[in-house]
Amino acid sequence: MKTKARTLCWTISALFLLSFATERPAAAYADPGTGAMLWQLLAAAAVGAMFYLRKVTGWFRKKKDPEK
Amino acid sequence: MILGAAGLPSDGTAAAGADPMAIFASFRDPAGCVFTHDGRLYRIVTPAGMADLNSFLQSGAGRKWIESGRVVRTAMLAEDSSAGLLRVPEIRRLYDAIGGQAIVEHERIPFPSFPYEWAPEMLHAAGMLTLDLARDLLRDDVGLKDGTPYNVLFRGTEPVFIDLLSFERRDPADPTWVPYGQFVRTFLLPLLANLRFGLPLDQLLFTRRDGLEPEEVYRWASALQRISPGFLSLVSLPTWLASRHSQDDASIYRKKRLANPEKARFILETLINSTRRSLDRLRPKAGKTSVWSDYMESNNNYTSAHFAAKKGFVEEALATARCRNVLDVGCNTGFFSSLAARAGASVVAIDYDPVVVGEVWRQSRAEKLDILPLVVNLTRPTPGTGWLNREWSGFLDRARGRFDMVFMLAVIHHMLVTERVPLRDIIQLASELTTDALVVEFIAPDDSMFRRLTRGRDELHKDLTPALFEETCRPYFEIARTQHLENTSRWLYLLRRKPAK
Repeated sequence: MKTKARTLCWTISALFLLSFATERPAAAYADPGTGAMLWQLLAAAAVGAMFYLRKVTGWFRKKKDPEK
Repeated sequence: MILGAAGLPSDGTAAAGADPMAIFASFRDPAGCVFTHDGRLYRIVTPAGMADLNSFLQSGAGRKWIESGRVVRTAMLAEDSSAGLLRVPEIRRLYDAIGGQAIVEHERIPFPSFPYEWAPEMLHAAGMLTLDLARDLLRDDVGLKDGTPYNVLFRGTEPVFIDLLSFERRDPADPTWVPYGQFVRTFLLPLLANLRFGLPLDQLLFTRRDGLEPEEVYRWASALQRISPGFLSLVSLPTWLASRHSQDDASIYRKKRLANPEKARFILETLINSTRRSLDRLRPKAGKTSVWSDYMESNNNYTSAHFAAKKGFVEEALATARCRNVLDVGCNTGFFSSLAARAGASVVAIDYDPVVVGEVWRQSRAEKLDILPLVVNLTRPTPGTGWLNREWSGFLDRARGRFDMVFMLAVIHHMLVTERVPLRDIIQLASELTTDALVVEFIAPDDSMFRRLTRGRDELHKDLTPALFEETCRPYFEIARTQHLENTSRWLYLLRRKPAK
């Protein structure tokens, strides 16, 4: 179930991000770390939203699975 | 005194001569530098470095990792020992030059090796170690400053995190995992390129200190690969995002702080866990094959009786010479390395085929044998590299005189024929590598494997006989034992080094 939800989230975000799936020519002095940093920022924003979502779902899960 | 670079306990000839100013120090790290003195390894730490180091040493996770040996064992020097060291003018000068505050001593890892000498399995294990460490430290609000394989060495088959100045007190409200980009470049993308394009890690990592850029891998990928899950988050999205980002906008690097530290930690934990899953998907598969991987089973000239005789000879050599440090040149599947390790030796096993080296690492790790397998070709050994070619020492500089027994079993004919290295030069190098014993299997030119290599150029080696071999060895070695494998053109020798003239 968890895997399915993850796949779904993944597909939706991938489709969204694919909407700007073209590479533009890079010029000299391009900072090679930029891409990874931008990707991390996007991921952090998504995970940040999950944080609150998890709090809500956490109340329900706690009873079922005492480890989580 | 030898100073290592980039936090590495260099054993290399990076050691300068008489001029202390020429000593090569670990210049990349502003928080301290490494040196060796009287065979022991020390690190000078600056006041800023000390605050970060203490945050690690005093954390619960830090203590646990040092105790288990997965972070290099480290002790703060008592005042009198550190005062003693500082009476050495060269150390004093270095201490003052970087503004040292304290000296710590590190355990010495027996044989330093670098990422371009590792099998993919080993790079993977070093990455797992780095991520597990980062995740454990998060709970104690300690972070990693960087995420590079140069922070890791191997003690036998086990990766050990060695850069004690990579730690810092973490701002609990900061949700950014700073080493992420470097971790992707130096661990994930090389493993991805190795797995998907078959590019050898030694070549990728030797020429690129900071790994591969997403843009570089993007250019190699086909259109379909670019949108596949393995490439999307590591390669394609970073490439697309970066190409749209204004190059003058540095705001993405500005420190971010969240109002809720619990949320910041959740974000970091999730990112580290997802990076761990990405790494896990790149785990090299067991049971790969190469031209060398089934050599022991099918591709050699032995009957089981011959093989038993060879095994017996090596076992007896190990029992007679009682050596502690063995180098196995051309280790193949590591059969003889295992014999040495089981006899109590610490073994470095080299072969140029990454597939067999990966298998040796897997096997030795499963059987808990003290074997460090490395991808090294003795006829083209890893050279010194980095700044001034002196940051990371070459293989020979690390290996000379480091071993008291060297195995060259069924390997000399490859060096003679394929690489055209003269016999005398091979024996001379062996005499520089070992301080005591050399176990050699000599193969005469009429052996079928030898003939396969000569490809008709028999004329070149027509004078090569056991007698010539022995004569070539005599200036360097005493012949302690010899055995002819019956009905073959193969001879085994146990040679003992003569004292150097």
